[in-house]
Amino acid sequence: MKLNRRAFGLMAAAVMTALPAMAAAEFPERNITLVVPFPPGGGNDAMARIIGDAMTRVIGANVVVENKAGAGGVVGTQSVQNAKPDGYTLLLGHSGTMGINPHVYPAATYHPTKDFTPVGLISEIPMALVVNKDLPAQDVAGLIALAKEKPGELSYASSGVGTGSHMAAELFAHDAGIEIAHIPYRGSGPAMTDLLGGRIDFLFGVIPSSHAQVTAGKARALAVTGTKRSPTMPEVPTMQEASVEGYEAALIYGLLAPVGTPDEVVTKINGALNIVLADPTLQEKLAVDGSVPRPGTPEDHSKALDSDLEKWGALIRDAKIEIN
Amino acid sequence: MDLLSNLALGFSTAMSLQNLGLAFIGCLVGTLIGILPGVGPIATITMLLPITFGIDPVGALIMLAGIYYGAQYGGSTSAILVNIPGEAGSVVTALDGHAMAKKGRAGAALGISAIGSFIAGCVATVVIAALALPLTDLALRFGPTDYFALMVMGLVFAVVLAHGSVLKAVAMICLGILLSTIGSDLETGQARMTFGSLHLADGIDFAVLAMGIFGFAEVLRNLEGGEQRDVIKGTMGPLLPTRDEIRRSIAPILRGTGLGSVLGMLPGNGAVLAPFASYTLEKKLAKRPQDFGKGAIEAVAGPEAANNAGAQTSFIPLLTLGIPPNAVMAIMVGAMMIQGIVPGPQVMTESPTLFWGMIASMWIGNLMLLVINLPMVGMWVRLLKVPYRLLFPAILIFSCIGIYSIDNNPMDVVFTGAFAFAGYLLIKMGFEPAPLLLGFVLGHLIEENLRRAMLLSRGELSTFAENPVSLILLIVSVGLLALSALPSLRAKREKVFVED
Repeated sequence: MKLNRRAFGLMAAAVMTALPAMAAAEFPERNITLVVPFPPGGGNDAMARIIGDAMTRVIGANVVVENKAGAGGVVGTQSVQNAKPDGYTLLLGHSGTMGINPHVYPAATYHPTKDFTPVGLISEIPMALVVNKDLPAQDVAGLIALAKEKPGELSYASSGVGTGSHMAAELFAHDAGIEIAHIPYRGSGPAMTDLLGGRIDFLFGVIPSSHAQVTAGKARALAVTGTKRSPTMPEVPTMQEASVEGYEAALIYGLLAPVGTPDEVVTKINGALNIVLADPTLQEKLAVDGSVPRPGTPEDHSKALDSDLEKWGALIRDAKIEIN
Repeated sequence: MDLLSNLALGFSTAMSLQNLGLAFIGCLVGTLIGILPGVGPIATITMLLPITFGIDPVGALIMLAGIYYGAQYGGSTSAILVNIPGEAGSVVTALDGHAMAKKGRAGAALGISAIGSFIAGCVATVVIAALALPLTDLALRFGPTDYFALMVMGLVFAVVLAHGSVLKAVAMICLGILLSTIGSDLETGQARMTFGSLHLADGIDFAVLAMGIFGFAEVLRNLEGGEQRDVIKGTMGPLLPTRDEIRRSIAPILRGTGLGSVLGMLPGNGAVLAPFASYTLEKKLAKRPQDFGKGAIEAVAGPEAANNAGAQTSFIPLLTLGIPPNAVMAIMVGAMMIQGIVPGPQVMTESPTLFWGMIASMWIGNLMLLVINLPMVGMWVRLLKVPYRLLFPAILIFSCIGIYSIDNNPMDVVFTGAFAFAGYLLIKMGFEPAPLLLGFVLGHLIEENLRRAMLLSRGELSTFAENPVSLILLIVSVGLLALSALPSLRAKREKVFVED
């Protein structure tokens, strides 16, 4: 009896000391929640589900997507900020929630790298400058000339205040020195509807769905916003090639964990993410939304987040975009 | 004949054993989940989305479409049985459907909504197959000014919807519109009437409001009466609709189908108006309009058909343009993207099996729903015999689960509770919740389209008069309003009760 008890005590002690090490070694031992701060449907949700599904097969635990929509992504983002930093709660973050919101929403009091642990970049999404098929402008220079001729008369649609499509257009107006009218919509669908209907002159949209309208002859693409041409529409020049110097607008997407998440856990998730991103089938799936994979280390992600935050902040200050 | 060969391709795709099975599973599961009080099509599809990942794109979309129709039908079932509409479309069904259930005719209401939905679905499928393309270009001409005028007309429907005082109905509409303005301003991003709460930043969810002031308030009101209830006490009459009831329903079903088909194809979510428009039309045409609100079968048949036809034709903008007209279709877009399909006009030419297979599966899905649901009517009706002390807590618990599942947010449940008390007070004071809900649904659309029209015209109000469609719609609205207001004004003067 005595021996048994001592043996039990020894065993317990051994187990106790081994636990912390095992916890890290055996991460994950239960489901991982991937929070999408937007409602189901739409590009963010699709990306999270594609990545989550692929990571489930690599990391050895179910990666479950949870939609926590609200306040332009602030609600879901903050829920992850306040979650336990153990790697079991991850966030799909992007330029909108991480780089733009902190400048425009008073409620978005978080900082992308101080309040979160960047886990790894997923991809970047460049956009396309698409015009109404009846607009006389044939290229970006033509559009700028038209806007200068009739200041304030051209209308552009966005998927909402503070979204990537809004910022890309404001950056264009700022860099080209033109005055254009912003017509906000709820989401890219209604915005595109009015472009096709001829009520809107141009908009910045994700490349594949814009390309679909362009090939159907319902709209024309004048430029893409990345630094390189898009394989989807190789004939379309970049903004820089089309005379807008230094212009670049691409939304970055990545996985984040709450600040204080242990390094080994971050390394493990980052490893799984990079394995997944190297898979050509997955790359093809991501390409549906115009995503260009950007595998890398957590440090790469951290740097990208900081420069993104600074870039949009500078635009919002310089162009005096007042949202609140 | 292009159409015939295309349809043949569609049916050969949809009739494969796998796709038939998927359509069946979709319809069945959709019905079962959708029947949870307050769980409408959006929540159901979201919950079930992951099970389609492993299937090929055509099969996955067929299954999702099945879930959609199933959930829509399930939502009508809970609207009729327990007066809880899961989405805007079933608010109208709840009005007379639940009144019929109270009179012991729940089976007839369920039966006629299944039959009406089936007929509407069949017609709408033909409309999509034959006319989707030409109608798409026509629908694109509909701009913000036209939507604004259309929604104003919708508000007039709300006056007709009420069967009590016109003044009280107008008050409720205004309250509904005010509630809809809570949340971030679309143009400035400014938070309006949120009291600094992030929870209110996106406004109030329709299901939260509807469940509170409809379903929960109904439960509260029923508690007053103790166990004495008129619901199917004693004789129940025949389970399914009688021959006379079916005869009376045929014309409303056909008219509702027409209205729904037209409104549904507008890319700006015109489908939301369809059941309300049908209700208004039927009430105006009915021989006994005073029965409306007290269990008139025409008031279930027409709107249900309109709702289903609208739901079906709202696939048109999605399939032909790749643009989702409402939240449900947005989830379908997400599903397409997950399957590696870029939504857009090219889907039709690049993947004809997908396009035509889905259209064929719509017809098959509607048939399956009829087959699944008619035998279940008896089961649902028996559910009403469960004593209140068991039924009510069950309704409340399932409703709370449903609300929580919308956004995974416990505050939504709290809000529903608050609306329940407000709804109870309103009922007690003779205010009807239906006009409030319609005002709430249309409020967003009216405000956004008005402001967008103003932005596009750079502030010129004349834009509404310059545009023929909006001008006609606005004139019709004023006329309708005058027509509905006059009798009750006269009635007051002559102290005669015209419309109960």
